Amino acid sequence: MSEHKTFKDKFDDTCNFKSISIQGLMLISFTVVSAVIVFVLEIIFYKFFSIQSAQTIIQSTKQVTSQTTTNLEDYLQQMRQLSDTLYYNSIKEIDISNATCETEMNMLYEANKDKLISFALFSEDGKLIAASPNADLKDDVDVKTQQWFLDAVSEVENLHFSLPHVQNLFDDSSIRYNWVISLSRSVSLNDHGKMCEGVLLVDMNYSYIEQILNSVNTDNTNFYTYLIDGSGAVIYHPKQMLINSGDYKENNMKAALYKDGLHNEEFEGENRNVVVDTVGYTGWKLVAVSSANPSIYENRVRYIVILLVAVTFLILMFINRFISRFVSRPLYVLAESISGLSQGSKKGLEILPGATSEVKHLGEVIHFYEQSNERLVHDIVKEQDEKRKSELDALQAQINPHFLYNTLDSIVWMIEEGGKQKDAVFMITELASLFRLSLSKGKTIITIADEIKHGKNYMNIQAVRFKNHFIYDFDIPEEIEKYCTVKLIVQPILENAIYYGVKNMDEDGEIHVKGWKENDDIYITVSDNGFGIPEDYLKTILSDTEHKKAHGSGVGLINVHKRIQLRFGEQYGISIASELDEGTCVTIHIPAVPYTEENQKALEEGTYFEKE
Amino acid sequence: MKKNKPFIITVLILSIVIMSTIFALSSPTVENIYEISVIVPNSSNNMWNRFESGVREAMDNENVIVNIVNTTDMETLADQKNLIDKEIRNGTDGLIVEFISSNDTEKVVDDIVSRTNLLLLNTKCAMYDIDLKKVDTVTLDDELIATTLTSQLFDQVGRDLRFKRVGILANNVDQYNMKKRLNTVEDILDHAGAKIDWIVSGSSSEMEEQLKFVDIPNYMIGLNSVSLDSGIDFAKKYNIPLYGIGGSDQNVNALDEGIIQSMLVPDVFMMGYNSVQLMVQRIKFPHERKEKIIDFYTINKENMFSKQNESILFPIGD
Repeated sequence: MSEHKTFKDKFDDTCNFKSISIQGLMLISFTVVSAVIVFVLEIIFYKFFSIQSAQTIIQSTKQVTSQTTTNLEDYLQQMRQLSDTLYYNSIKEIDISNATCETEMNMLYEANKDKLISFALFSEDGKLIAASPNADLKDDVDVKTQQWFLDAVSEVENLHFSLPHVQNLFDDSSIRYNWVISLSRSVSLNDHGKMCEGVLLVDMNYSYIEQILNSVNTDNTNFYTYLIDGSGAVIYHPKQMLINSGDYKENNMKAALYKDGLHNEEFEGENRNVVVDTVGYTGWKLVAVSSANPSIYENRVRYIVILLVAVTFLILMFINRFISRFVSRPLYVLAESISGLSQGSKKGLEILPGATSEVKHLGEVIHFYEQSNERLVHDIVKEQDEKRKSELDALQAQINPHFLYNTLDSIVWMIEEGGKQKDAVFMITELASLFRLSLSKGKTIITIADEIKHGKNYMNIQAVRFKNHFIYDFDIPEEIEKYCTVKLIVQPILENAIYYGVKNMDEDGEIHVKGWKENDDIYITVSDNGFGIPEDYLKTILSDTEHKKAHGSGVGLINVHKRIQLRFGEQYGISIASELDEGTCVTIHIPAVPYTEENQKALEEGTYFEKE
Repeated sequence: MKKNKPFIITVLILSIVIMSTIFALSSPTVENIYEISVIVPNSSNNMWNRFESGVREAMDNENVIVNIVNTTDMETLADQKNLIDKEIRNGTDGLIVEFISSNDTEKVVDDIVSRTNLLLLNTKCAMYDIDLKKVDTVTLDDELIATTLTSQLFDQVGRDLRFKRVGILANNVDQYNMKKRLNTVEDILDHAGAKIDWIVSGSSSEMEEQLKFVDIPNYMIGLNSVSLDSGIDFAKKYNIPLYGIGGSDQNVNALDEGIIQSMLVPDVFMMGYNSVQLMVQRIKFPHERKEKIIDFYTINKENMFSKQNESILFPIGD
């Protein structure tokens, strides 16, 4: 049954975030940081370029618009001046009943015929008074119904400019129909000495205005211009015919409401910049429209920016990969060799030659600790070996054939002697107890009570064998009997006390075993009144490992001392005080470790003092 | 490999982005400029001025080059075929054609569509058994315009034309559209009881020559600009009310003078504009046959200078 994984676990497994390497971390972080910087810089550059580009177009548009407006104003002013000239210098000076202004009209027309179509002067009832170049009015034309006439008579103070229209006034044998913009004004006429009203018409050539604006639209591809009157009606538009047929839409009505200057509008789904400039006197507005959307050129720049970002990012990735690999590879190699070492490889620590100083230092430190560890392991192994050897020696001592032979021999003698069966039984019992305690079911750590009993068994046996040549006693308080000790430490000292202390004494020897607890330590002394140990021998007795054992178990004090130290530490062991002919006192010093199953096990395994 | 997977994927993605961008940059900023040829009868006649205005407008919008082939010497279908072949040899991307004759043009049409793109003016494509996808048309609804024309006559003189005689100028009866108009007018007048006194056809000079020998009718009808042009002097001389379909400068002047009582004026500007537009669409995106019907306007002396009609009769920029 598969383990159910959360989404986070699956994501982590996929991205392997939990075990990302140094190289990966460096690569990602370097690349992300550099990519972000490059991206931000490119965006800033593109935005700056876009803004500059748009500003340039708008500035250009404004300049052209302004210039075009000036050109239109100049033209319109000329036409106004023509109208003024004709009115004030000619019409006003004559009595129309007996004079005509056609001569002046013709002259003015000839001088300006590229800019205008005709002059005409009408009475207030629509009768043609004078005209140039053509004075043949159509029969069925009623000028009073034409808008220019109506405007002039309705507001007599002003000059009126009409919307473009086809002139429908004169009979033209050339079959020409001209688009005009009518400039009309109310005029005062002198007819037979009486003042009456009339209308002076100057039909301006619409083509002239069309040419001005066509050239602007042809010369500039970034924007187009169109001309509207104050109400938004189109005077000129490059797509006039399409607008008329409904195939093209323009935002002219809204543009009429714009003040002069730059505006932004949304029209037919397109974002546009609109520059508006008012043509003086007429109220007309020149509107220049440019797209606010990115041009093809801007789009190309955008592609170039994307290309630069992608290429830079790609190059940075490779560079970062190389650098991160260069930096992390020595670490990786070091980690691999450490891993190998931990699995027992004999290859040794590997440090790449090109590694950084920090990695080299790390490698050297690890090497130092590796070697220290090896030494430590070697020491521990050696210590364990010594322990085992010492304990084995001690154990072997207990089954020394001489001791056993002699004891059994004594037992046989007792039995054969007769009458000493009880002594024999006693001896056998003590011997059995001795060997049982020696083995202690394989344990190395036993209670002090068992160790003392073991000593007692030994002494009981030896006392019989040596025919009570010495006296002995055990003064062990009950309170210390339940503490831990290494086995086979009292008996060897007792053995030494017998064989080197009291055995060859003339008088009865005395061996006293005493124990006490002092703070956290336990002391057990074995003292005798024997021959003592010479001073020079005393100095080396605990360090001379080559010393041969003469009798008995032959384990010796060195073995006991070492075993105590191996088990409990260097601060413990035995100490010997001796004076020739006075006696010897061997003191066992061990820590007071209460005998529990847990402590016993910890001492056996050597872990007791680690947890402390 | 697993550790390199994100790196490899990122490199691949970046490579794709770089290749795509390079491809986008290497694409031409300016689209291909297509060349289109227009072959129509009497191309120098001013009746095509407005058509040309529409063509010019479309040229600017669609960024194409349109060549209006001079057809002054084009008198027969064979002449027209030669001009067509020449334009195709010159590498034209599309042909806009009004056939000088609709007779025996099936093979010509088949030949053209096999070599280039074709758009027909003033022709119903249904008459040709050709692949639906191959040809567009821009045309008037000849039946409708003819019906409207006769209704103008009825509006002024009443529907009872018994004992009235009508003369018809039909220019090129070999053309499909002319045939259609003529048939429609004949049917309607026949139902109204009128007598078709005469029908003159042919070139302008031929029609003028024929008019010298015809009786004076009560009314005259010209079925296109050339027809009207040819009948103006005759109508003026004998004070015959003239009705027709047209829009040339002479037509307009005659309308203004009251010689033509009522004139139906097709929006020839949009005919030019739409034909180029459709042709460009066909070149870029071959599509099913499209037919564009052009509007027409009923104009007379009283309304010819209205805002809408003056822009039809006198296109700005002409």
